[in-house]
Amino acid sequence: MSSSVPSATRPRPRRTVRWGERIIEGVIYACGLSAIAFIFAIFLFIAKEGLVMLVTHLPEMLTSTDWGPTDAHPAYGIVALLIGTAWCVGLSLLISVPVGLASAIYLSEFAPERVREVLKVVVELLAAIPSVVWGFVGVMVLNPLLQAMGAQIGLNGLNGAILLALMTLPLLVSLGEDALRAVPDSYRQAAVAMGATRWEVATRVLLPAARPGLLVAVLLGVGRCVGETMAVLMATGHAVNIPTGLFDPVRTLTATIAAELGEAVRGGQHYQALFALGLLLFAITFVVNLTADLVVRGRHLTR
Amino acid sequence: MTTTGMLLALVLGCGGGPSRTLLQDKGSDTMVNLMQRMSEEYTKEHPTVIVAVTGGGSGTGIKALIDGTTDMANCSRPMSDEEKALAEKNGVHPHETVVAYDGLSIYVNKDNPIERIDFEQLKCIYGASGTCNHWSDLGVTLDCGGTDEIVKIGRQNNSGTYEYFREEVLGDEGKFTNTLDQSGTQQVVDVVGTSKCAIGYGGMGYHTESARFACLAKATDGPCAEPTIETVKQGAYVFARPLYVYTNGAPTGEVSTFLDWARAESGQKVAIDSGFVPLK
Repeated sequence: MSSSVPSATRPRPRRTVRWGERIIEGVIYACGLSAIAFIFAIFLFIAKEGLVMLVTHLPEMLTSTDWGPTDAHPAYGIVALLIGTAWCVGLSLLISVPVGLASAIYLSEFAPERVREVLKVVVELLAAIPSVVWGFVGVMVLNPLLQAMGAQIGLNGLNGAILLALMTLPLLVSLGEDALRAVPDSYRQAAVAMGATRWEVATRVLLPAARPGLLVAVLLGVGRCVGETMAVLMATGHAVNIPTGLFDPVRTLTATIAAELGEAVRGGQHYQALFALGLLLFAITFVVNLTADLVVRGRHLTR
Repeated sequence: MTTTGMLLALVLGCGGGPSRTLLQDKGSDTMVNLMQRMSEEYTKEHPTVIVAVTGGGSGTGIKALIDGTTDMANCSRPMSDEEKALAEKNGVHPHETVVAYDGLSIYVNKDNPIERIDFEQLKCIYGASGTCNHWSDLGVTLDCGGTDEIVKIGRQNNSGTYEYFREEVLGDEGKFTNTLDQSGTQQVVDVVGTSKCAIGYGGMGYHTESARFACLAKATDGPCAEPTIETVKQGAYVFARPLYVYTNGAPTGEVSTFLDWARAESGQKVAIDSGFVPLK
């Protein structure tokens, strides 16, 4: 406030500033609330369409592997779809967790500063690739590659899992690196002072210390994998099938919704069944994210 | 014309040129190339009319027609009774126009020596209760890296081809076994072309050098034929089907002009060029 302003008029601008602040506070508050409102609205919308089906058909859905919603006698077994999703996610984690954690350790502990900068940018670029492009990679690159490796058909569970692993790697690497760098330097110094090698510092000191953060990275990766749609629709072969080998085609929950919702008659049983799948997906990702959240809280509490 | 169509026409019309009419045409993936080419040719002759063609499957097209979001619905199968009832309930009166014929083709890899295949064998391969999982079950010797397991390629259940195949081969109550469900005939042919032990089905306009037609017979001891314009026309090909365009009520205005054109000489030439069978 300039000192040339007469003292009698001083309180007025202050009052307007306070009003402005209140308005902005209110807007921000409303924005915060709206996020919750949106989540609830989405949940209610999906529940409204899918709940009836879950209530009436849940035993059939969870015990049968026969998914034939357009057959003369519709069948709504989703066991094969659930296993397909779990199969892809599990396989992809087997690839992405070791590679992702190794990259995170390298970036945080071993890489020279310049290499680190370049690699971080590249990893972030990897995260910017749209999932339909990954789908293309699956069909055009991995498909013939896997066939050359002896697969009867290159569009299979392994293809989808490799794509999912590539898609979750950036998440694992960035979050993992953050978690490792958050470990105080005093830990490293203490370990080195005790005569530990760099390898021992990384594996015996840093990994245990950063475990909650790394776990959160993995759990968020799982959530990403479970919800991924386009790439797995294109690359997994889209066959309702319980896989017994790496090269077996599978079909995921998400791909089923994407492929069939366009035709399902609004309000019909098929439509409701697809929303019930959506509800299940919602539940799965919710549990995964909640677990991640609780892990983070646990870390803060123990500190 | 639909609201979206009018809006799009409005946007296009704002370019300063003569105002254009935009027609929406949606549905069958089997017909998407055919209708796309017809649309291009038609716009060359009638520059003020644009036909926007999208795929998605026959069921998707019918659903759009019932929802009133498309002017025409492409369908590679006749509309089902349930769909007709649902349409009437929503005040839509489906009217069918046949634009071409198709021979629903059985595709096998070029290295597959199979000479003929009949409906019983197809049922044995594709039916839920079928027992044919190896090419040797059909008396065919084929080696795909130490195995001769049949890679069964199918279509997603919003496909008219899927429905048509099921009704004709597996029966009204028939159920498919687990197949690799592709979202278009093009993908079916691509997969069959790259996988030696694969078999697939789809429109006849999609065959390539690496995915060839199998000679198809209805009865086990009956004569077999490959789908060609002649065999489909003469009725020698057993799996021939009409390709429909559905409209709400008998077509009027620009839609009617377009469909008349499609059924006349220029349109039918496009049908032949696209690998389908003309009406006459």
